Order: sequence, then C-alpha cells, then structure tokens
Amino acid sequence: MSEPGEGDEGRKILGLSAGCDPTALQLNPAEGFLLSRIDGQTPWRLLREIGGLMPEEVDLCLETWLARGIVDVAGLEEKKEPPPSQAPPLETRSERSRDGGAPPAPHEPPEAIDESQIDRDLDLSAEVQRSILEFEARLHRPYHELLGVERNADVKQIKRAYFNLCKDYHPDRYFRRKIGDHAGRLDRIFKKILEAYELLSDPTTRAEVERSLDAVPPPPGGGPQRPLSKLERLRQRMPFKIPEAVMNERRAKAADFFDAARFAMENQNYVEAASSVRLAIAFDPFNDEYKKAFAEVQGKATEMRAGRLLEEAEGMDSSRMKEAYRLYEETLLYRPHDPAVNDKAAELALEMGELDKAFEYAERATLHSPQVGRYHRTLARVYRSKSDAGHAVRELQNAIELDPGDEEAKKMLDLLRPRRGARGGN
Amino acid sequence: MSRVIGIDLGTTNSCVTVLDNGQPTVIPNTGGYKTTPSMFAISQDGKRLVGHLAKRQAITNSKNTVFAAKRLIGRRFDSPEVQKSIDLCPYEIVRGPNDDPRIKIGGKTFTCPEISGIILREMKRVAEEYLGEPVQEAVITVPAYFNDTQRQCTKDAGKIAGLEVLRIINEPTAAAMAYGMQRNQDEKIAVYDLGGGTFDISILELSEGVIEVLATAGHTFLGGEDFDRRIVGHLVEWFEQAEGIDLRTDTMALQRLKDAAEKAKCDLSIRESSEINLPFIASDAQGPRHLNYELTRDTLEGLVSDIVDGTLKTVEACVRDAGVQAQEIDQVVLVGGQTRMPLVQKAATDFFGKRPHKGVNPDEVVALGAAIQGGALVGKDQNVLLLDVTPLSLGIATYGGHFARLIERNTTVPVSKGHNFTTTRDNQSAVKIRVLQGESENASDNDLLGEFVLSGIRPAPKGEPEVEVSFDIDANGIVSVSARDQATGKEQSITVNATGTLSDEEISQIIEDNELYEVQLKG
Ligand SMILES: Nc1ncnc2c1ncn2[C@@H]1O[C@H](COP(=O)(O)OP(=O)(O)OP(=O)(O)O)[C@@H](O)[C@H]1O
Ligand SMILES: [Mg+2]
Repeated sequence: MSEPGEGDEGRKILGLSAGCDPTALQLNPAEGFLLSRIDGQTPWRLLREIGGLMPEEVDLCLETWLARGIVDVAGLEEKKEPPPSQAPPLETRSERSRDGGAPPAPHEPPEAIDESQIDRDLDLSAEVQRSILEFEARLHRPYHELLGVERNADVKQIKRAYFNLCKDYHPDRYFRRKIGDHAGRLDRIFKKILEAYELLSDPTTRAEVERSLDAVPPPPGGGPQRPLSKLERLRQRMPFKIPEAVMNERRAKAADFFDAARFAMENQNYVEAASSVRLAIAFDPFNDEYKKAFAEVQGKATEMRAGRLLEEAEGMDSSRMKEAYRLYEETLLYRPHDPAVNDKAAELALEMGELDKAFEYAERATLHSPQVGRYHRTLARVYRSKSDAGHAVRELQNAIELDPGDEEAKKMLDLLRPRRGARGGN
Repeated sequence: MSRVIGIDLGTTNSCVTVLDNGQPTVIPNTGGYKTTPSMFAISQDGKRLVGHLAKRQAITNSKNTVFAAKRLIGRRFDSPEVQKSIDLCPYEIVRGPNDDPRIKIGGKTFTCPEISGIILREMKRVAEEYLGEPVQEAVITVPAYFNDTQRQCTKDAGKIAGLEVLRIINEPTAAAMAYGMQRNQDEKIAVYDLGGGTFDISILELSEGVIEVLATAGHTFLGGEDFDRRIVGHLVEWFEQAEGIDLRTDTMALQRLKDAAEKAKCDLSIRESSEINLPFIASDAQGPRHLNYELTRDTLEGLVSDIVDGTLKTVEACVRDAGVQAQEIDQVVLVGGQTRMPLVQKAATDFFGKRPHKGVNPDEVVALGAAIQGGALVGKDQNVLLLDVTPLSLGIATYGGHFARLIERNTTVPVSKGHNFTTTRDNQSAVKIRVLQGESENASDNDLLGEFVLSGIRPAPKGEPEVEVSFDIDANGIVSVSARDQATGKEQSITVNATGTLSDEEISQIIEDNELYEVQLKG
C-alpha cells in the first residue's frame, strides 16, 4: 500500500461532507485547525505538512473522519507533470539531501502559498514554481532557517548549505527560460541566501545575528521574527563591518562636531548648532548625549531658520527664480504676515504664472502694510495680469500717491491709461 | 538552436572553443593553429588582414598594424595607459569624439571596440567554418580586473562582430571552470594569469560543481608585452653603446627588435641563452650595421624581476582579501603564455609553497572555460554553477571628494545594497549622485560610471534629509543605482552599464560599414 502522503492517496482532495456540523465534534485545537484547513482544494499531501500535528497524526485524523463520513473525497489533485528530461535543478534537491550532501530542509512547515501564482505556461514545472513560492514566503525567517542549518552549524556546513541552495535558486539556473514573475522571486531569494551566508560565515556579524535572535525568542512554532528597527534593517543591508580604526576616527569626528555645536549654541547660533549635532549623530549614531542635545537645539533652530531663508532667497539671481520662490513660500510658513516677504513672493509667483497665489500674497502685503507704495504696485501688476485694468489703475494711483517718485508705477499707469481713454472715446 | 561559442579575446592571442558532446574543445583556425594573433592590419594595397596574416606583415607595415588594442579599450584618451601606448605603439592613436582613444591606420580611424570586433568576427568565422553552421551566441572573457566601461566596450565589440554576448566572464574564473571540470573534489585554488597585456590573480573555491570566487585582483596593464619592452630597451641601450646609433626613433628597427625580443624571451623559457641576430638593423656613413647579441636567462631575469615581484604583491593582497592563508591553497593554476617563464613559475612556487598544477594548457584553458559557462547557462546539463564576484568596489562620491563604498570589491553577484546619505548644505534641494568604481578613498581617482541628480528635496537644515542610495548588480553584471528621498518618496535611478564609449547608433553604423566591406571582399 502506498503511503498516504505520497502516491495517489496524497493527491486526494478532501471536502467537508454536506450536512455535517463540525462543531458537534470533540476535537483538540490542533485537530480543529486541521479540520478548518479542509476546504475542498488542499490535497492530503499538503494537509500532512500542517503544523501542530505529526504527518501520521494527520493521516489518522483524516482516515477517521473519512470513515465517519465527516469528510468526503472531493477530487484528485492534478497529476504532477512528468519530470522533463531536462530536469530543473530544484527537483534534484531532495536527492542531494539523501546523499547526505545538503542539510535537511527547514524544520518549519512551509508557509501557505498562493497556488494561483503557479503558471503552467511557464518553462518551469509546477513543482519548481511551488518551491520558489514557498521559499519566498519564508524569506522573513531567521537566517539559519533560510539556509536550513542548525543554529550551531559550523562554517563548513553553512557553506555547503549555501552552495546547495545556490544550485536551486541562482538566477543563472534559469537563464533565458520563460519564468515570468519567478525571475524577481529568484533574485530576491538569491540575494537573501547570499546575505544569510555572508552574515553567518563571518564570526562578528554572526554573533550579532545570534544576539538579535536571542533578544526576542521566536514564538513557538517558528512565527515571524520580531520586526527589526530601522537601524537594524540598515545594518543588515550593510553587512560589511566598519573597521575599529575607522569607527574611532568617526567617533572623534562626531566629538568635534558636537564641540562645534556647543560653541554655536553659546553664541545662540541655533541653526548652526542643530546641523552640527546632526552631523555628530551621523558619525556616531549610538551616542545618547548627542540625541538629547538634538531635541533641545532643534526647537530653537526653527525660529531662526526663516530669517536665514529670507537672506538666502534675496541673494539669488533671476535664473534661480523658481528656487527663490520656493524659499519665500517656505519662509512664509514661519512668517506668514511679513509684508516684504509676501510682496516678494507675489512678484515671484507672478513670474511663475501662478496668478492666484500672486494675488493672495500681494493682497496680504498691502493689508499688512497699506502705507508702502510698492506693495500696491505689485498688486497692480497682478491685477493687470488678470486683465482687471480697473483695479490695476486704482492700485497704481495708490502707489504713486504713497510714493510720488515711483517711476515704474507711472510708466505702467501711462501704458494702461490710453487704452482706457480709447475705450472712453468710443 | 545554434551553438554557443567561448572566446578568449586576448591581448596577444585569441582562442575560440565550443562544447562538443559536453566536452569543451578548442577550434583550430584554417592554418591549424589553436590560437589566433589578436592583430589587425590594412595592407599597402588596402586589404584588411586579421590574425596570422596581419602578424606576418607586421614588421614591414608596422604603422598600419594594430596589436594589443585590448590595452586601450574602454579607457579615456588622457589616461596614463593610453598615453604610454601612444609613446610605444608604431600605429597612430588619436583622440575620439568621446575622449576615447581611436586607432588610425590605412587612412581610416577605428574605435577600439571596432578593432576588437574585427578580431571577434574572425574568431566567429573560424568557428563557423569548423562547425559548418552559423554561430550567433558567445561567452567572452575579459581580465578580472577590467572595470565596467572596459567590459561594456567588449560587449559592444561582440555586437559589432554580429555576436550576441550571453555573458562576459573573468579570465581566471573561466580558467578555474575548465580546471574544475576535470576534478571532482572540494578545493581552494589560486589562478595566476599572466598573459600578453594583463595580469590577474583569483582565489576560488570549488565544491560539487559550484565555483565560488573568493577574491580577485590584478593589473590591466601588465603582461608579457612589458617583458618584451624591457628586452628591447636593453638591446637599444646596448646597441647605442656598441655602435653609437640610437634606434629609438626608427620604427622599423624597433618593430624588428620587439619581434626578436619576444622570440628570445620564449626561447629562454627552455634554454639558458639565446642568440639575437638582426642583420642590417641600421646604417650610417660607415655602412650597414648588424645587431648580434647573446641574451642569457640571467640577464633577462635581471631585467624583469621587479615586474614579477610586483605581481606577488598583488597576489598577497588577493589572498588576504579571500580570507585564506597561502598554505591553505590546494592548487595553483598558471594561465597565460608568460607563465611559461621559469622565473614566474618559481615565484609562484615559492609564494604558495607548492608546485603549480601541470594539467592545463595555459593558452587554451580560459577559452575552454568560456564554452563551459556557455553550456552552464543555456545547455542541457547544468552541472556547474559559477558564483562570480564584482572585482572593484562600487560607491558614490560624497562631500569633500570622498568615496563611499556601497558594494565592496569581491562581493558575490547578484547583490543589492543600500545606505542612507544626507545633504551638506542647508536647504539643499538636490543631490548629485556620482557613481564610481575603484579602490581609492579619493573619489576623483576612481572611474566615473555615471551620474544623476535627485532634486525636489524638501528644504531642511543640512544633515536632516535622508536619501537612500541603493546599488543593484544583477546576474549579468548590470549595475543600476537609485536614490530615493525618504521624506517625499521621490526616486531617480540609472542603469550604469549603458555607458560604453559608443552609442547604439555608432555601433549600428559600424556594423553597416563592416557589412559593406564584407560584400566588397566577396565581390
Ligand atoms: N614560452 C614562453 N615563454 C615566455 N613567454 C611566453 C611564452 N610563450 C608565450 N609567451 C608570452 O605570453 C604572452 C601571451 O600570452 P597569452 O597568449 O596568454 O596572452 P593573451 O591571452 O593574449 O593576453 P591577456 O590574457 O593578457 O589579454 C606574450 O607576451 C608571449 O610573449
Ligand atoms: Mg589571456
């Protein structure tokens, strides 16, 4: 008789019998879980791999439930494709492990995969596709599990495991084959395997990996790892070590920056102080003193920024108009009522063709400082651009009244008047 | 489906191979030779000559005979290597529109990829003649220490030759593949490759069909050619003292000297001394002069011992990079014609404390490996897998002209790595990402592979914005770099390897020109 897990028996797909009320059954949680997996789609073979129960126990349950009419055979899983003569490497993996070569596949149950991702039109057997999908679903697991080695594995075992996985998942294995989305998956898988290998084969990085594993024991049953902090993620992506000498150099640099920050703070130059502290932190991200100082100085710096921004924007030539405009708008966030800033922003907005904005700023400038002639002139320009000659003329008259020497306003007025005159004449 | 050929495009000699029933085999050219000189010439009557034909007329037509073009490919015209070649080569090297060196012979100017393309086309032709069928695809080898531009230019050369280049692989790695094919055990090996123009050293680990490159290093401008030059220099000096005539400006004499020097050098690999006889090398008022000199192995070794010692320094660094001890190396494989020199063999033996492996042919093993990799990629029985590395560090230029490495040299590919960077000025709204390749801490000393600007960064004090720069190298060695502003999510990226020295249009133009020429030839 064939083993239920393999052969035809394993391809049986079970479904719940009609009219059966599962809640009436006396089941322990693991059995209940198994029953809940019976969905008329999952073959016996896969049910055996469900965590919490041994495959034999799964067989026993299923056989009992079948006998008692709780479940039915809903169908047969499609037969596996016959192995092509050109055997894809993945399929040889189990064979290799039997040779004693590769380490056993990870002890964890496979992650659930989305069977709809398996595309039969590809140049990859369903089996291989499934194992790619399964591996991808496990990529968040601890490194040693990815490589399929014990935590205390030695360097040789790690290397061997890595080599064996490479044979299955290196993108070159599928060079030029039609593998659809699996190309991206293989790329991710290989890079992760490589990362695991690199981290675990270097004693220093390995110690770090182990520490992070010990810090939070994985939930029983090998659930996902605790989410990593940003720093940890970054460190994992940059697995190379910073040599101690370099690190010392960096710390020294950080201290220098921090000194500079303190000096700037004493001189109430908070903007400078804030950026120096920031640089200190960049060079020595682990120093708590720097981090504390940063919070304090940041608040004060914000106050001073607007002033700086304004200076900077005023120094710019017209070719950098856009940049200046952006800076003025930014400044307005800090000093929304400053008429000079509003006026300048209005002028620039006008240049950029943003009429509504220009109007808003120009109007605000005249509201806050109605006695300054050139603000009215700016507003007039905005009106003119909006083809509102009437208002434009009025504002120009205001401008000239407030500042009789404003030649520009006069010129504008002259240009506007004849048209008005011509219209009046008709 | 046509077959994939492997080509070792050497500085001095090229070799083409194919898998024959799973067995890599060298394809001999029409003359029966297993290697073909990497030479191209335009004869006095305008004929194009490649290989042995070009070599045969090199002395009498040295101004129109190109050799060692591989030493120029993918370099900038102003680089010291190109400038040195200008001093030493009898053919004319001119500045191209992209600041690339171009070669002017027979009244026509050629780009370096074009010259290499002509040689590759010849190798393709040799293969097609032998196989009796057209060939379209090839794996081509390059020195491990070639940078990205040099590799890209070699790919372009393949295109010009009408080949689809499946993969560019490193010469020492290819040698290791061919070596590993005959062996069935786990071992660490060193491949010491000293050819005509380049020197490479790689440390690899072989295990059950997987070949992992542990480290690689080298010099792309050091090889047998330099040995020859030392001999020529010595002969010129000697002749000047003996006869009072300076041969340095006499191209024809220099060409004859070079030819004789190489012959003597090879001779001295099996003999203790060699006669150099060059009648009528020069003439003056007193009549014709002849050069007659007995070169001994001792003299030769004295002339070049510093070059050989220099290679050992590189070997030492590479072994260190690989994280192994010299004694741990199980086998030393010598590749390249220049390793036939006893002094080189002795140096390697002394360094590793064991005699080099004898079982491979140093002229063919690289090309054989190329065919094996071709088979591993597209063939039926994929029982070898190459885990290759990127030979040079990749990174970006940072404030103050520093080089920040994101991918260290000798990192296995495919790989991606990222790191956060920040601004250096307050309210800086854009950052320029300059992608560099090399080992210097100074950005300007490394090769610029490409650059782009990420703009629209929100105004903030310096040091505050976070820009994540990510590098990705895929299995084909294509490098792409992206920068992402963490605050806005804005992203910019480039694919670096798009930058050979030729544009696509130029390549198609060259292909067209060559085809015209082919037609001419037949007609
Ligand atoms: N018997 C020998 N003794 C010494 N040197 C030799 C001998 N035979 C060939 N060489 C030298 O080896 C060099 C050519 O080697 P090889 O053909 O391996 O180079 P290549 O592959 O063309 O160049 P590269 O790999 O550097 O691009 C020439 O400089 C040649 O003089
Ligand atoms: Mg070579």
